[in-house]
Amino acid sequence: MKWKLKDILMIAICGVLFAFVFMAANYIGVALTAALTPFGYAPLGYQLIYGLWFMAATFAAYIIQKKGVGTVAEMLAASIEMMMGGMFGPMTLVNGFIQGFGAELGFIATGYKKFNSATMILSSVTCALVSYVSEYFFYGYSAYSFQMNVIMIICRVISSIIFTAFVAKIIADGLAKAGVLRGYALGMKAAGIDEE
Amino acid sequence: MRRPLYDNFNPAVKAVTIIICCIMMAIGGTWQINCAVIVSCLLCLTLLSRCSIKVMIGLYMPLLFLGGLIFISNLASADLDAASKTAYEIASFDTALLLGTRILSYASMGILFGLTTKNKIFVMSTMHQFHLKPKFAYGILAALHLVPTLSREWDEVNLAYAVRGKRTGVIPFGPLFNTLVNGIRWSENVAMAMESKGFDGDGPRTYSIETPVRTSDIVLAVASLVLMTAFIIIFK
Repeated sequence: MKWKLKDILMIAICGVLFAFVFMAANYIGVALTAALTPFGYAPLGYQLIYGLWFMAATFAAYIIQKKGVGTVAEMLAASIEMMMGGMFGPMTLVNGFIQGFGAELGFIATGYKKFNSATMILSSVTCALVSYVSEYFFYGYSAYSFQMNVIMIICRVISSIIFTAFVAKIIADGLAKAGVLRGYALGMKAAGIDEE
Repeated sequence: MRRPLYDNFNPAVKAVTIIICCIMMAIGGTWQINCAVIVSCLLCLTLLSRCSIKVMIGLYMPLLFLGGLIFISNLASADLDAASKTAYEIASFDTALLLGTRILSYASMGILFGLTTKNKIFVMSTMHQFHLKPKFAYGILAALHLVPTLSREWDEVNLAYAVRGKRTGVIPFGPLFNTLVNGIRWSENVAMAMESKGFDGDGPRTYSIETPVRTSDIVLAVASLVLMTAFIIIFK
């Protein structure tokens, strides 16, 4: 697709706002990890809020509704997170690409024709699963027992459905209702304007 | 005396080197390799960069806490009786150390990159070395330059809520939504302003900042990869 400067800037500025949310979420993740440590479930601390990190991809794809938006949006958000002090440095870009591609799979499955709750849920699930596979390799999840891995996947998928599908859709629909997305596919549909 | 070798390292080459080192570390998979990486990064930060030690300590503190929690959690589960091992089954001190130090070693490489790289130079470097289109690069820079404006907007929205006696709650959805609305409006205005001043994000252009890859960058990248390989051979 041909990217317009306003699309890139919209995603980048939303990426800045998401980066603030990510930084706050980091502290929540540490607090949850601490709370779960006495029970031996520290690895679940971040899994419970992991969906927050995938939001940029589905949020942008749902608004712009074009091919490749999920992957590029997540990478833009990741690069901004990295430059705003994300602790994993350049690996944030790798994770951003994997998460974005994971989210993109959900939209690919519908041929970029349907942008509704079902597609958002599908996208959030594919994103959670693809990102888990990569982290299984990078963060050594193979050291955890099979049961723990299953619990971690379930927590990640639920968190992804809540934040990446529902919260992202609610925010985007709210913005369309507020009339600030008239220049994008979602806003045009909400206003009854033909994109062509 | 501290030599700013890492501050002058080409950002794109540095990023690629760190990504390759992270992948090698994931393949290596022992706590000794993780510890060697952490120590190497600390040495690079203290001896080969101009970064502030105070900032470095500030960044490491929460990470040490997080790594410690993961270590303790895994260690505690190793002592659980057989009946409670069904959900969580890690039975060695080594594994607890591996998982606890893994996060610290990744973060150490991230901190090494973050504290020795300027955002603007990194973005320029991605255009020169990775051929990133200028509209993406300048779009990212424009968004980053809007951070102080967004912060100010956030404070003003929160103040407006407080003045009207409205509660924002633990997760302040109201102020977040308002800031998002204004952020999207600004993005359209900034895009219009850039294009009206002749910004062409696709065509060829000249650059005020050049980021060439020098011999020293290649030497530093190769040295880092050789060191990582040595760690894997020694500690695997």
